[in-house]
Amino acid sequence: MFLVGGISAAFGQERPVPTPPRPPAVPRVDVRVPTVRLPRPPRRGESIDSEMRIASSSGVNLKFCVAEADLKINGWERNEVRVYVRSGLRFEMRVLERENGTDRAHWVWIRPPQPQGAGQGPAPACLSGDTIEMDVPIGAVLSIEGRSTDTVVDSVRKVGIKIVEGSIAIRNVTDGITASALQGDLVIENSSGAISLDSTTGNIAVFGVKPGQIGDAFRAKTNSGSISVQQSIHRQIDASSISGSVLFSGALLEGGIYSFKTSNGAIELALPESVSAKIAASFGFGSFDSDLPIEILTENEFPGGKSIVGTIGAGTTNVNVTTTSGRIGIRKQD
Amino acid sequence: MRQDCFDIGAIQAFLDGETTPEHSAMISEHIAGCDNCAHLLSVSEEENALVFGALDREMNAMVPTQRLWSRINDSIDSGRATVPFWQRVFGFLSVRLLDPSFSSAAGVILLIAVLAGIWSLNSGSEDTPLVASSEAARPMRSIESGLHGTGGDAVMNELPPAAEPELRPSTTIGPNDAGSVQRVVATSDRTTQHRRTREVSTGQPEVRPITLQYLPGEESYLKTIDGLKASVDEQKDRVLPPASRVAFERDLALVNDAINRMQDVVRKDPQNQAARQVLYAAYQDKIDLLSSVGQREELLASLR
Repeated sequence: MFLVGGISAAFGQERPVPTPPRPPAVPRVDVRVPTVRLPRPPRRGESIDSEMRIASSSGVNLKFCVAEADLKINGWERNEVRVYVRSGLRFEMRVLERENGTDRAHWVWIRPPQPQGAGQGPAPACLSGDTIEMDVPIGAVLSIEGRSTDTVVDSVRKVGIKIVEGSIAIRNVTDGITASALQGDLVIENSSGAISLDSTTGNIAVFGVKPGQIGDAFRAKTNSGSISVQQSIHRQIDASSISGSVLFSGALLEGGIYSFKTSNGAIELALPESVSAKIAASFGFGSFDSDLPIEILTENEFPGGKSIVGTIGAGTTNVNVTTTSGRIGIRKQD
Repeated sequence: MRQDCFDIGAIQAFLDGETTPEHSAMISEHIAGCDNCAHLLSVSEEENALVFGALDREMNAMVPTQRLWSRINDSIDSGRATVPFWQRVFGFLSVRLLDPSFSSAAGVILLIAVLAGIWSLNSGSEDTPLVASSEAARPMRSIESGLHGTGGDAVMNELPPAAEPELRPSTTIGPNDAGSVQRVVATSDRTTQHRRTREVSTGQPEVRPITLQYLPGEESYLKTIDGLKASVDEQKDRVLPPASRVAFERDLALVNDAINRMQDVVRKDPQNQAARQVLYAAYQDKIDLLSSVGQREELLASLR
């Protein structure tokens, strides 16, 4: 039988198979399942708008770095930190320390979320976006590093900021500023405390600064820029540039120590008529002139330069002015 | 616009470091008081930053830098210096002897020299010695100046063995100090503090050691600057973008110019306190300027 079947299959002759009966027709029913479109979670590195708030102590310390963004920080009366990033990376607020008693955040690190587990690759360490806005308590202390950012800080307690590229504007800071912009201008207004400003290729403009406590000094240094200090009432002021001019306008306080230096540029001091200062001016290749009456104590001339020590008034304040190549001028303040 | 304003070409040359130090100083001083020129300068700087930034990779890849040329030249020089003399003679002869006329002439000269040698040996054996000078029998000693790296200061003289001096400069000078050594040598006639003694009298053999004296505190400035400079030379191509590099080189040129000019003044009158103060201020400026490159790298590293 198997032999017959195999031969018949080989010659294409199949045996007839009975077909099963068809089931009766079922009426069609359309069932619609409602679909809910959930928002897609942002992928890592994707630009989004995001905002976070956290209850903080009044003197909260905030540290963060900014890769690229316009940064605006404003002090407010609430004990709360609010951060808004427009078109930027997601971020998190990591509380490093809480205030005793209130358990409010006292030290906060703001940064992009760090990947959990292996295989995620290194995460960016700095915030990034079109604009970053922060509202922080007016007693906040800021520690900021930035790569390419224009920064404005208003009404906080203390600021430490280092920027590679971009300008820095700071105003209404009460307890000191340390600011460094490698490639950008620095503008400081109406602030107090110890102030230290550095720029490599930028100008420094300062208006209305004062010490917070006795001994607070003001220091400004730039390589390729000019320095202008107006209405500063620090007793210790040190302003130096390499290839820029230095301008000081304001009163010199009794017992103060003032030093103005440039390698290649003019130094101009606009002083009130009632000033009392002992001026020690040295220049290599330049000139010295004064609108205020100066009593020359010693005068030492050498080839291409001159050193003058003289007093204006009683001479109770020490002022050192040095330029290698440039003019030194003392003007009467308007 | 003032009449003494500079045109964009002059400002661009200033930015590129193509102006003389005096002209640079003049432009800087003018720009400090002229808003129009300051604006022109900032516009030019922005353009420079844009162009250099866009072309940075291509320029680095295509244009051999001055440093590359220096390296190539140094390699050639060192290669020449290491080839032994006999190899150079052999190379020269192997090339020249391919020329038949040269090889025949050389053969004739060689034959004459051999014949002359044989003749002189035969006839000269009964005569006086070839070198009969009593001077030649006396010991000859070579005294080097003791300035490492300067070279060419060897002085030949006779000295009794007991009087052989030990020459040591009072200050160690590295290869980077060649400039300062030359400066000291060049100004040795003008100042009593910076003496370089190199006299060897024929009667009384007396060789005084070389004394390189710095102004008080100057040596520490120079050492610091040398250390920083070595570090900056290594870093600056990597750390400084073109616009900052232009500014850095311009400032460095200004500071160097100031230092050189004040050094001249101070060497002439070392007791001049005011000039020394200005010189030290210029040294400090250079230290600050060189330090800024390292600070920049630190900050960039912390942001990576």
